[in-house]
Amino acid sequence: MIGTVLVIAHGHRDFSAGGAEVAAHQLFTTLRDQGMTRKVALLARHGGTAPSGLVTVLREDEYLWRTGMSDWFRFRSAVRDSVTGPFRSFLARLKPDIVFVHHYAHMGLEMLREIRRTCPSARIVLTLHEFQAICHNNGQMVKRGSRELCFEETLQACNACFPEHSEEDFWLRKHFIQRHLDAVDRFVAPSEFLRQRYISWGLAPEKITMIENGQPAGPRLPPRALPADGRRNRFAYFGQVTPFKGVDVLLTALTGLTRKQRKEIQVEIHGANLEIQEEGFRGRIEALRRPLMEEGVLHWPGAYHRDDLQRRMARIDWVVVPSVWWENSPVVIQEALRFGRPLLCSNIGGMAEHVRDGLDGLHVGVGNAADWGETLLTAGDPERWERLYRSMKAPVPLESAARQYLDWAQGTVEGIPDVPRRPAARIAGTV
Amino acid sequence: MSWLTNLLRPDGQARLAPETSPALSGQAPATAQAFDTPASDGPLGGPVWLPLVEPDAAGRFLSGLGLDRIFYAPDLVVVTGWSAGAATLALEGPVGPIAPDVRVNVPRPDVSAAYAFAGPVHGFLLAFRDPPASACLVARAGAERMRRSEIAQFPADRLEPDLGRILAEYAAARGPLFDALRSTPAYLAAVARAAAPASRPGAPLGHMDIVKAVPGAGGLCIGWSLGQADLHLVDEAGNWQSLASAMRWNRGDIFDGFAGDYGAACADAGFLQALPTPLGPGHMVRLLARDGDDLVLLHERVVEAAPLDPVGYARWSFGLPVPAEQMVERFSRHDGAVLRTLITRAHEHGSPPPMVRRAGRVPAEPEVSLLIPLFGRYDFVEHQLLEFADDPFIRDRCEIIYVVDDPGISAPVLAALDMWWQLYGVPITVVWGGRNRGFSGANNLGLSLARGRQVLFLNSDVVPMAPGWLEALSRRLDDHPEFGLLGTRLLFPSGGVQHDGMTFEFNGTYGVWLNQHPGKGLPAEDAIPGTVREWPAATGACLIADRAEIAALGGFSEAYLIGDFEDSDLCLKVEASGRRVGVCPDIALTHLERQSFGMHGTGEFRMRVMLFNAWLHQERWRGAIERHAASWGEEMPA
Repeated sequence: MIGTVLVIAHGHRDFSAGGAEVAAHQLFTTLRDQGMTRKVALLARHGGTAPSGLVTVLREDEYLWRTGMSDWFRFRSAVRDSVTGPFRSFLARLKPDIVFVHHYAHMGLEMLREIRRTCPSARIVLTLHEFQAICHNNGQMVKRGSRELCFEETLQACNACFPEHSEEDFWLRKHFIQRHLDAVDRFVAPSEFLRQRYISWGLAPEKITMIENGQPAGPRLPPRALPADGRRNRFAYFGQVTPFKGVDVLLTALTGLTRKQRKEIQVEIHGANLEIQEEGFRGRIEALRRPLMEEGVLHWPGAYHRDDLQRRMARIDWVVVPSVWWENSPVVIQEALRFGRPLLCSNIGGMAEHVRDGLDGLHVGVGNAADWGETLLTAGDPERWERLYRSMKAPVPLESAARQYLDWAQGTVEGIPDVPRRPAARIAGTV
Repeated sequence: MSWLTNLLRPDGQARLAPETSPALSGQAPATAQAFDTPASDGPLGGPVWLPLVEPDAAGRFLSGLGLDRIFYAPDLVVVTGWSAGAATLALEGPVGPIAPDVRVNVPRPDVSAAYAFAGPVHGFLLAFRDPPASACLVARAGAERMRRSEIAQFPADRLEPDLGRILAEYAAARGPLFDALRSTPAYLAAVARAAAPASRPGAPLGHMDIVKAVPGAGGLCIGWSLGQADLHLVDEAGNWQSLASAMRWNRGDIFDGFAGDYGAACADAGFLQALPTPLGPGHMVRLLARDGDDLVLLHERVVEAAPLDPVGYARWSFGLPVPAEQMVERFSRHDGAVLRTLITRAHEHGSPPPMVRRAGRVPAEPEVSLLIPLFGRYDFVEHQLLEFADDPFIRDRCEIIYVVDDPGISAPVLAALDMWWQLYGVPITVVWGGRNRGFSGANNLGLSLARGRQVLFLNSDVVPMAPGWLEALSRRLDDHPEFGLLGTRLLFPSGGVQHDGMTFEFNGTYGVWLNQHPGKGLPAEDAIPGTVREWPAATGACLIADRAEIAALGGFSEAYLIGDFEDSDLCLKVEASGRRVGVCPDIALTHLERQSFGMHGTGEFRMRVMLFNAWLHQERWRGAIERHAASWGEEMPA
């Protein structure tokens, strides 16, 4: 049996319910509850105005690391002596055999080399949740200040997005990140799409695998009860309302339909965090949503607690994911699959990969309001909906995902070719 | 003419010079009353002699000679007076009359009117440089009358002690005297003081915008001038500088302002001229024009203090509006020497003892000491440490010395030392030299503290690509004993060649030899592992040498400004000591070139610093540079 496993996350699910935090917490609880290892601990970074740098106890086997990050260009810790002090002591006491790291944002890359230094024989597995290492634009791989998708980072392209950082700065950024990732034994990508992006960027293909985020097992919801001649015309968006999530595309699509067409449709936005977005974006959303809400086609129930998700999904037919960036493995897709709600999603990246067109849902042209409008109108067909409901795959169960994590971490060292470090000059990938 | 009134003073007779010629004894102006003019407040003294006149039978004056003033010094005699008719005045030495160095004649209608000579009366000024000690003034009027006096025998109170008074009376003599007295500062100063502004339309115009100097090192005068005259700078002590070789360029503001009066002559009105060393701050400097026989005062100004620090001086003086293409000419003919003096002087001040801090244990006898100066940015350090940490040769058997060369970062670098050690586990030595010493000074400080068998000069923005490179480079030097310096291939972040060896190339635009990196920016050529390729020079960004050998050569020259060309200077020095310089093309590192120089300001200043250093480099190594260039098939300058 495996000895001690440490799961590190950049936030604790109790205080921050982002996809990566939830995935890390689920991995921790699954390993613990299923008794898959002798011991498992969770270390979640916890912010605050002036992080003390200490590692403190939240509850049994759950710890909070009071740290932060100041340099978002190179992902350097704001509390470096916390890495070489309390974090080092924590590792030295716990002596983990496997460390699953679910992010480095908010904590800094230094911890990776620190784990390698203090636990030389531990297996370090890093799950990459987005493209932060590749793209300075919030890891979105979308050209800054626009909706133009970015297909490959280069020193020149990154400098074009951020003229305040020279090409050399971007080389240094990549150098700093890659030399710290050298301390990692294996990487996990929750989508093949993301895996390929990181391989293009410079990770050895042998060192990175795709493991889906798990979902609790359980029966899916029955279809929403329809009146006679009723249509599958209730669409819901779940998640944050940010410029990258495409809610504005969805609202524009609705606006572009005729009033008569809109009478056939009901859209719900179960969206959070609109209030913390930029003013320009807020104004745009406000202007789009007010007439639609007055007309009754749009409902805005707002943020929800995860315990309430099942009830909310029971009332709708479709889950929409109109993101205008690539996405990786949005939790909402896993949840829709779990509850049996077909998806409408943008036809790119992690969305297109996880939602099989015509089986799990339908693909819509990314950012294309006309396409979205037509799709909303035609999706009401109950027969097609029924076919999708039947053909939808089930998400990967938590136990299965956790088992895959353990297998990947434990895989014999000989099984992984010793990959030579890439020449630094090729970091740019432009030679 | 105030001396005339003197004649009428009651004591005038008593002041007359002793008669030296019996023939003239008892002579007195026959018509003294005719000179009755209002009293003036002129100087005491007066005519050295009573006028020597030759009347005809009717008592009318045929010829005459008056001697107004004599300035006498062993090296200069200046005589003024007048003559009418056949009268003459000469200075005669042992072998006869001496030709004057300056002779100026002016009309003297006043004398003519007073004596009623038949013909015109000429005023004259005669100047004689270095007359024989026994020289005599000899006056003749007609065949009969003659007066002779040994000039050294004139009593002091009959002599004019102030050359300036003579110059005030003889404006037309100022120009010729200025030329004749150029080499005698005291006299030249008097001439310059006498210069007056011109009022004639179209006369030369000029202005000194800036006059600054460093005591004992020299300085600069920048201004503008109009008109065709020869220009000169003279201070109160008579230190002189011609503007004939001044840098000239067109000044749009002057051209626009004066073209109406001066036309095409307004072109290239701007000038820059180095000041001679004695001309220090506090001196009054006059800008003079030699206009015909006149000496015109254009402008006067007190010399201000120029920055004493070489970089400060460079920042100030490189900003003056001399086009970049003329900078090398300027250094060569003007203030290159000033800057050289300031750089040398800066090193003479001595330095505080360096502060040395260590983290981690360095081996007692390191294989290689890595010497890495830090200036401006120091975030590169972590990128280097990330690479050194994974290189057992460097981590365990070498000595890493960061030499902080920037007071602005010494505190944060020293503060970060322990954290770097904690994070990367690489023993580090940080040295702070107490002041900015420049690239050479910082490297030499590191060299003085290094203990390695070999030293590697490494820039902080050079980042290795993989472990093993330094061990290979160190061995390569051991295996090629004929080489005194070995460099490596350096690549840009985007992968092209930054350095693969250096050559020299003459730049026609700037008129100076520059270092060239052949193939820069292009993809690197294939490299044969284990080889050394000989080059005229290699970049100092990454350069390995035997420590004792390079220390014996004195390390990098500290004659350069800030940083440039010290590397090729060192290469040429190593070559001059009988060793060779090469590059190992199979050992490659990444070079983020020039990222650390951002603190030195605009590109224009950096450009001019580079030109200064290029000029200096050429002054020191022209022969070797041209020999290398010829063997490389470079085109030679015309």
